[in-house]
Amino acid sequence: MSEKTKRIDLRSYLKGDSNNIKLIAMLLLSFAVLCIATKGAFFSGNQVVLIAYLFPEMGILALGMMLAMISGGIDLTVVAVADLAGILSCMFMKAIMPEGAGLAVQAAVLVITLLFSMGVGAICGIFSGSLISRVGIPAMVATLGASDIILGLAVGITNGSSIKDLPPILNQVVNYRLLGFIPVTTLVFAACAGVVAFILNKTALGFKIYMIGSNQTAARYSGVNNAKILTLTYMISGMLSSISGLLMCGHFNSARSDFGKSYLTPSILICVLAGVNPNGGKGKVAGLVIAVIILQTLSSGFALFQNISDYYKNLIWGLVLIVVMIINVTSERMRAKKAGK
Amino acid sequence: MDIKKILKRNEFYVSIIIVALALLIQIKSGQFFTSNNIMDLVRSLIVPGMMAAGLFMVIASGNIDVSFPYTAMLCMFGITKLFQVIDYQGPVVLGFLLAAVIGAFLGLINGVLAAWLKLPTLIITLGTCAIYLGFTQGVLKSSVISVLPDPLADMAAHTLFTVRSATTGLGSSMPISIVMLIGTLLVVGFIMKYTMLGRGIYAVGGDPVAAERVGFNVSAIRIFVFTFMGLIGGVTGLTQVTLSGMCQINFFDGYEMTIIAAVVLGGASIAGGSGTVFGTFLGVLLMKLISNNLILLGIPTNWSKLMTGVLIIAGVSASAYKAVLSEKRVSGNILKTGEKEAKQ
Repeated sequence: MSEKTKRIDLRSYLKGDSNNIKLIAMLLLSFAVLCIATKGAFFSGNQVVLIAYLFPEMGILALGMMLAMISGGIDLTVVAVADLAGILSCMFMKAIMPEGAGLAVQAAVLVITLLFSMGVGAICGIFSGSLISRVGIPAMVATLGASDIILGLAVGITNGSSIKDLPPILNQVVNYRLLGFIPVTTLVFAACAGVVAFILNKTALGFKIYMIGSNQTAARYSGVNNAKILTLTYMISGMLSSISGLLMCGHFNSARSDFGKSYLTPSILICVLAGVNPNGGKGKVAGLVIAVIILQTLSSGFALFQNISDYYKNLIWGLVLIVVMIINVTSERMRAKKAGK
Repeated sequence: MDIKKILKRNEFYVSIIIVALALLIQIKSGQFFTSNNIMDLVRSLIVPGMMAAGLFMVIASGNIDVSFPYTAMLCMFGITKLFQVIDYQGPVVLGFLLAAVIGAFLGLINGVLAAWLKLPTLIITLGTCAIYLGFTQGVLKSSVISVLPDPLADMAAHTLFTVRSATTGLGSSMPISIVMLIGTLLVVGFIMKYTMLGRGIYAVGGDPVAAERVGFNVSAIRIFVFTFMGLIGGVTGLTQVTLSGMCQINFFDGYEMTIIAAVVLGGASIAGGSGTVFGTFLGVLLMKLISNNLILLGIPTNWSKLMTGVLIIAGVSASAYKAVLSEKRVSGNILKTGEKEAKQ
């Protein structure tokens, strides 16, 4: 490829995806501000590795949320599914792990547990997806109700207490750093993001998800089986949530019905920040990845300041969400006006 | 009204379920139709009932609000703290007025954002609810206030009347705030049924574009329903204080879900444009009947969350599925005529 075509590609890329450039600028800015505010303490390899270790839990939930939002709905069950899948798979793993098993057996058990967990997520997703697509309940209410049912199951099963004494392999794997610095969680996130990007960009399913999100009626009359596609969308979202749930269990080395509680607003915030249109039809994985890292950077940054209590986090997330929505909407309207002229 | 019409109404079925459930609890435990239980039930209806009346308006206009429990929480702590700090001794009414003003302002923020951004109101109010919660916990540093300022404590101590069970000697009293519940229900009922504004709310919920063409100011109606919801949220926050005699940060945990469930169970379509305030009240009654009597019914409290979810899904499924079927009929007809034309 010649130098010239490359440059043109880059320019058209910049034009088409100005949102990503904005996001990268925001990421660098927030990083710089935090470095200055902490007098350079924030700019350390440890901090970067810590951010890379922590963001996948939230990020994978946001990936599921994004799929639902692109299809024109919303998935409020992500947190509940993560909790239920975490609890059930921890119980499952404890039950099938043989005493004094070798490393190979332990690894095999872990893989089976992961599959089991994704199965739980898929069932939950199919449940809420069917409520939306076949029973016809609006996505918001359906997932609100389904989330109560799923979380209710989690609370009921555990009586609200936590499941401890897990086989150590889960914690070891989740906390493992490849080559000493790449956290396994980051690799898991990269795999999930890759799969979602592949589905959205390269498969008929992804194209149909965008179609349904832009105009459900038009999609149906063009021969798209809306019910099937929507159920699949929520199923994938459920599977992603369950992976995140397993990561949380590994991180805390236990399972509880309220681990993910604080992740719901941030995961919606990440999607909105990433430029996913809450009305459907728009959104890219690349933007989401940057948005997740921004949020985790800010979150880790706040943790360094002793005088900012955790409670202010809510306030800041809410403010950022509202401000980003205002910016997105006004800039889109200005663009539409320009195009109209 | 003739019987056929009554049989078609959602309220009729909810009433039947309520009566059946009451009888079931009575048979199972023999403790439902005691003056104490009834009185406690009425008492527990006050705050959810008022909130549901406000939320019914929001839902009827085709929007949703999940921030009102946090509005209530903010007003509850804000005003109780203010009274403590200035050692306020005047009439308690002023507190309620202040709560109404603060609540209405917070609701106004929701309404303006909703009317301006035209994004799903669930996401907007999720954002504002995080702000209100963060403000209450962070800026007001609230968790528990166990000793109330005098005006609020006085109101908590005053009751309309008290019943005393002959067998156990336990007393249950009727708080003054029951008047506010009745007042709110009447006001909302009046607005929705007899005013142009009420017609406008239904119209916007049914089809915002059509409502705009007819001449309704859609933005103004959106702003009104959210402001009104905020106002009720603020007032209920202070009402809860006088009912329980203290402030606690977790009073309104999960209220957004329960109240949405109650409104939807009461027959209001979540897509907007339908429902009645009477149905909403029945929905609240049903929800509270279940959650208050889970133990009498023999269901452990750990499973109550599951019950809320099942109720929401069950409540919306019937009407949603009806809509799907009718749409299938319509699109089926279109396809059929299309085939006929193609044959010709």
